[in-house]
Amino acid sequence: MKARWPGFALVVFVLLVWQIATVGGWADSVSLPPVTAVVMSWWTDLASGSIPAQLVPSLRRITIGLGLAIAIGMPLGMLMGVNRLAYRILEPLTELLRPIPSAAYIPVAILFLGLGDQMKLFVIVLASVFPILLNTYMGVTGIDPVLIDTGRTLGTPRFSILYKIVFPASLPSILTGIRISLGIAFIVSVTSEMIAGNNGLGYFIIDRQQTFHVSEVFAGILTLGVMGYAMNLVFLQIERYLLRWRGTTVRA
Amino acid sequence: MLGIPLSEAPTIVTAPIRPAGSHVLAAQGIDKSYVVKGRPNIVFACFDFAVESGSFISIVGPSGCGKSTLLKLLAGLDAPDEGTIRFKEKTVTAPPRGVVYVFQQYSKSIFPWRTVAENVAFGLEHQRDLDRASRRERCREFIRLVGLEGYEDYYPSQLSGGMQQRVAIARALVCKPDVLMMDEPFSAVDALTRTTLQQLMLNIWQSLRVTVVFVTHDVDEAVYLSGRVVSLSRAPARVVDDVRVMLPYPRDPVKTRGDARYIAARERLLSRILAAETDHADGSAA
Repeated sequence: MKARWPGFALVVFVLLVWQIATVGGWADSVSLPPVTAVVMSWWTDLASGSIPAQLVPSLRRITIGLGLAIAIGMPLGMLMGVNRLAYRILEPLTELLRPIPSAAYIPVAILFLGLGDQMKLFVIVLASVFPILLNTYMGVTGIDPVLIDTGRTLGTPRFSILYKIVFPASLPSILTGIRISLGIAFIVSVTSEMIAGNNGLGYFIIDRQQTFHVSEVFAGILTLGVMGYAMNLVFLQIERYLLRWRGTTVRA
Repeated sequence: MLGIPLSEAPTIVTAPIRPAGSHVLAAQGIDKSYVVKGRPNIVFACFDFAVESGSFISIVGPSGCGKSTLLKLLAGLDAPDEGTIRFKEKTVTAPPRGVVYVFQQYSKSIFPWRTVAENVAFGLEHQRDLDRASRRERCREFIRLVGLEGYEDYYPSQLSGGMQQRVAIARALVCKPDVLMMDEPFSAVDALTRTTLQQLMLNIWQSLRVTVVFVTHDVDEAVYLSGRVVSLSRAPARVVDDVRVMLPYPRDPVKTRGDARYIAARERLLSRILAAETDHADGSAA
């Protein structure tokens, strides 16, 4: 805790400058409301349930989208890692699709899937599947052959080698991919809600902006910040549990 | 230079080794080459090798001579270009149940996400004929055998190198193999740990009557442990020397090394290896 206070002090300092600048009239208080006003509307929107009501669909979208991306990307990445033919077939397509900014898909996705959840999930999955796929692939190809040979000499059947050795050995890399995709899913879900939404935090922010409730716009942004922080924290806990074997203590 | 002329060394018997019925593991007419930087590197050309059942045999030779390749071929982890490997008279095409390989790089071979007990249990998990209770009992027995009692729930990252290699040995032995293939298993641990592990291996070999094929670059270690030492030349490998070490078991880390028969076997192997190295150097200079 001791080492963290300078960081917190900076946050407090920035908020203080913000507050002084808006109250003192150096910044336009219509487009930048004072911190106190933002916190107050955040509190009101939390208590009235209007922010929680938008938080739930966003969270649900991210969870389902990321879950689907894992369900698709992980097996495909493993397949590409263990099978040369699968790699040769899938590599060009992934390399072609991967660099396209995910927001670019949204107009097309709207044409095919409409404005509803299907479209948003599709874009989230498309955007977050590649980091998972690629990191899984790299994790699998990075496995030391000795580990596989160990499984073979101990009489492990082929398929068992896949889930008993290849999967756990590439898990650290897979989790890195999932963490990257978590951030991407978050960004894409908010973006898609802003473009074509009737619920979610992205929708909330755009809606309040268009109705000139500027302090509520900031309250929405603040919620996103807290939400992102919390999601990362939860993910780190899961990762720490799954990789609990990666100790650093050595006993002689 | 040598105390005893080679031809008169009384305690050593060399005999041509040919695959025969009493051999648990045999390689016949093995060809194996690798392509290194576009050029084929012949490791074995029409090579024969056989391991007698119940023996403790060591393979020595300069690094890169193909000792590990031979061990991998015998264990079914690698396939020869030509020739056959036979384990108990059956041709080997995949790692046979009954031959287990212990790797030099124990830190790469151990499953870091599994505890000691889970590592040891690995090879038993797909043996359907074993129920949970007898599986656990057998693991406990072998953990005790390698002296890791009390460490069952430790992860490998919490263990020293010597202890990790003990885990690897227990994990191999728990499968009750006929042949244990050991590829320079003690080369990465400190001298004292090596001595204790050597003693452990000798005890295990004597109590379990498992056949051990032991690869090392250390002639002393080979003579100390084995009943037979085969010395290989640089690639393409041929047998430079094949020595029977007529020292009784159990062997003593201090007394055995002072025994005239130990010294004789060691001297003979070393001199032959050095002679082969000189030939090799002359050959490449010419």
